[in-house]
Amino acid sequence: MDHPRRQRARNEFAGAMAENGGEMDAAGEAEEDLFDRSGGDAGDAASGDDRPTRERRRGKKGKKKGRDEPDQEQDEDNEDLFADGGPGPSSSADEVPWEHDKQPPLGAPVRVQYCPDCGMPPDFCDWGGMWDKCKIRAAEQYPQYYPELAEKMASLTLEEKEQVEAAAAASVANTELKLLAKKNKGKEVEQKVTVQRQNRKGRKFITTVKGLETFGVKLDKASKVFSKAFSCGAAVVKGAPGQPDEIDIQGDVEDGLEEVILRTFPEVDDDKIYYLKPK
Amino acid sequence: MFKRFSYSDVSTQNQVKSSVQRKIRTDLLEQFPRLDPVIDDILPKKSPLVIAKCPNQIQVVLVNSVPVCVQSRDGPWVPTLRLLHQHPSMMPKMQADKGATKFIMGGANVMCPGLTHPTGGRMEDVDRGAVVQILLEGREHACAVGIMTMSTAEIRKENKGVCIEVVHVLNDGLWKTNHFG
Ligand SMILES: [Zn+2]
Repeated sequence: MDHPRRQRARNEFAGAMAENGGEMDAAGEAEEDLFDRSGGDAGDAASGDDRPTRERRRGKKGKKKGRDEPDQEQDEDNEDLFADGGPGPSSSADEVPWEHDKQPPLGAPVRVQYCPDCGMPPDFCDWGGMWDKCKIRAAEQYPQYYPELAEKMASLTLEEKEQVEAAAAASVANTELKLLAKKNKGKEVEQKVTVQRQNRKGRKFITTVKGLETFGVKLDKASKVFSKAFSCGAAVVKGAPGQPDEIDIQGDVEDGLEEVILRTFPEVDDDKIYYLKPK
Repeated sequence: MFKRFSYSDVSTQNQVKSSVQRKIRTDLLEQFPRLDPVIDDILPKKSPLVIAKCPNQIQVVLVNSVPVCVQSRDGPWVPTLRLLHQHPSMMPKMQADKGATKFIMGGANVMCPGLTHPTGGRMEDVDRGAVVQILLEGREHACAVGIMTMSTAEIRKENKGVCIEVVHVLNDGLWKTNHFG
């Protein structure tokens, strides 16, 4: 703020914005960014051909005053921006030009330290789905991304801090429980074996067995058992994408199949074996 | 595009012929010329490329089972966010204002007003069909990658509707599947 050149820019710009009504403060803030970025003389602002996007857009905005809805939105957002106190992480990036092709040539890869809990980049922890847990670390290690949060956490008493940590632990346990419940539920619902005879060519059939894995039976083992029991070929067949694998047995073996399954895999519930209509 | 994607959606994974491997390499360099100095690190000549086929004619290029870039039908190659984070200046940046955060993070496409927003929006000049990275006001890392459905000039002129089709966004199925297999 105290830099004279910047101050001048600010004043000039404020004049230009006056016709545009009350936004001048917030807009001035943005314009200040612009000058920071360009690093050039503020007097260039009017002609500035080398900084196309912003400048042009601004000009347009002045002309098109009738754009009501977006402008209202912008007003709100501008207030937001101001309430945050301005210096977000973006201000540090302002020294380098924005255009990707004006950056230095690519070299060694940047290794972003993703959050060990939610796996997101640290500035997106609040979208990682476990913010209660992440926010403690976020406030400590990444105050630049979460200035408000860091301030708030810093102002907490020791007791309040413990409360936050307890809440984090509780919320983590809660989500873990939910995940577990979801997993188990999925398993229980699908615990059934289906047997279906399929017609191949003329009097040739195959018998398809699905769902053995829901009882914890290893499919490759089962296919060997079937092949031995019925003296025929039996193979594990990859299911369609998203579908579990199945076992195809050559020939029509529907009759003896249930017995073989129950004898070799006692963990399978005999009420849960279903015969489907042949196709 | 990868909102509900998971590894079980992959139908086949095949090592590609060296001619296809070369084609992918030249395609990537054509689309992202800045990758030239690092292309050998991204697609090492020694490790074989694998293409995983996913539903809706989406292909994912894998190097050592790690996804590198994706393609839908015969569209352009779109790098994964993890690759983009390693080389943040590999492609043009488009920034939307804070108000767009929850929509974009929810997987929505980017609308013009987000980019033309006077304080939060920022654009580089690109044509329709360009692959771009999507940034959000106040955040450092790219949150999504997408394909322009309008040029920057058109966006300034029309200023309404969808202008970037989002292909891949943080925390979607592809982000969570950093290892195929
Ligand atoms: Zn996190």
